[in-house]
Amino acid sequence: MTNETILELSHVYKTFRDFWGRPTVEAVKDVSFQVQAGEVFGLLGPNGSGKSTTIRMLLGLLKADQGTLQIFGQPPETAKARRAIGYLPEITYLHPFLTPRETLRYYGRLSGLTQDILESRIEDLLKLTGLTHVGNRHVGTFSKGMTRRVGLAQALINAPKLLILDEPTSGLDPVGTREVKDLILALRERGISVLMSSHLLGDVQECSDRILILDRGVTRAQGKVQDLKGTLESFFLHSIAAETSSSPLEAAGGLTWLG
Amino acid sequence: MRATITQLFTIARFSIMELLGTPAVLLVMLTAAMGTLVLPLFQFQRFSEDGRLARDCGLATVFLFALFLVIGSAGRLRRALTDGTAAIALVKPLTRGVWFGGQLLGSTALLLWFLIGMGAAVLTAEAHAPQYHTTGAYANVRGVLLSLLFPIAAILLGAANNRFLRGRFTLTATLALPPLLWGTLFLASDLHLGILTFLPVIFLFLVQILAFSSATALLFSPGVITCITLIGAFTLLLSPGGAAWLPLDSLAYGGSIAPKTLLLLLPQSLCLSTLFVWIGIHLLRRKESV
Repeated sequence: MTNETILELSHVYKTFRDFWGRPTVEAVKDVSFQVQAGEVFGLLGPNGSGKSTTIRMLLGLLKADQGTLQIFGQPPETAKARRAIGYLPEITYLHPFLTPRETLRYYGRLSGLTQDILESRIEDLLKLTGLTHVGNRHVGTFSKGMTRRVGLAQALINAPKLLILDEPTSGLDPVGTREVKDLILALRERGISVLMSSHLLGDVQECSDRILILDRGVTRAQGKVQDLKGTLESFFLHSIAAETSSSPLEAAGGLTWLG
Repeated sequence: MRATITQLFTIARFSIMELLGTPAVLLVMLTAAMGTLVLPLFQFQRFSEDGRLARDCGLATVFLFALFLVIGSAGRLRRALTDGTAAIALVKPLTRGVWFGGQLLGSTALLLWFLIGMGAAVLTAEAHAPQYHTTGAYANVRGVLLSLLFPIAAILLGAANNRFLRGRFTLTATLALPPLLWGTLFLASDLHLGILTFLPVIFLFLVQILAFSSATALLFSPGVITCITLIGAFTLLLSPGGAAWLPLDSLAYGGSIAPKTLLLLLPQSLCLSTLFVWIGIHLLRRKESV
């Protein structure tokens, strides 16, 4: 890990509004962090904490209301900034009528790869994600986990310097989860930076060098994993206790007819 | 520049694959083709016009079904933005304008392919139409039935490709349909090829509607069905490039389209299409969230 900052957010705000401009959700409030080259940075928080919103703003898919965002020194809207990024969304949106090979070919061409480089990378990525045997089957017939693997492959097709993973282990079985974690650690060894978001404490703890904890759009804590260990556990315990009563069924209004 | 053009054609190619892979597109093309081909069998009112009624009905069918394709293409664009398939593409190093342009290019190519096929269907319908004064028959029934074999062959070709080569059924059938429709012309005689001038007229008109519908599709948040309905009503009522109706009207009353009319239509269509494409790119760039 070097000291070069490849990603920077500074005092970013985002509020979703309705058609009339009235605020509906304050998704991100005054979030700031940096990602250095070669590190794995974790965005941790419960569902609805603003992780995906933050990532979408970083990718130029969503416009921030306030604050500055920079990737490799460029605003996220520019094509130059996105040249060295790979992105795996929380829900893998792929064309169901394409096969994995065609999918990777499509996104590879959009990334500017030439034919010879592309074909060899496609085979390598299919092998890496364990999809060689289904390379010519339509993605629409895949399970969620298999689709996720195709999504991961397309995120790596352009050999990114920064990989952004939104809930990377979502939908994967334990073996797949282990493989993704190992991949993240292997990429770090190769000097590739990773920004991963997750609501699973174990995933983020295991893979990340530094973590930012988000809750309801607000930064609760930020720092190295070993420095935040106590904060991480107590944060999640307190969050769960605050949200629920002693019994989830009682909290839901006493479902006496259940069980 | 070269990279941008590669991206543009890549997006266009894959959007064509997506459209051709849709059963709805095959259904529209088959219905339009077969409906046009059997028109001569249903001409009980001749008005002493011989094949002209078949031609007029054929042109109306072409236009109506082409509108379905145009509106469907615009709806697909909207769907890509709402279901997230556009998001993964837009994270790659390409501009939103290139993505929008590529989608439009693909839809335009599909429209052209449809019109090429339907041109043959209209010619065939006119050729097999009533020649009561010369033959005493209301229609060349044998010719009509034989010509229906060609669209059916497109379905069989798609099925064979899927069964034996694991190819895509709808893609193969839809791609094969226009060439096979041109094959029907071997069964026809006394073809009046001059009416093919309607093809560029309809194409120029529809391209404007396509650009207009695609730009409009970026504005609406409601569901696909509502969006398609609104776009359809809007385009038909406003009729951008309404001057194109005049040559079609001339053709419907037995006239022909002068080359001069086409030369006037071309810049008008180019200007309006460019304007709507520019508006669409501008809207997409300003779009808050994709």
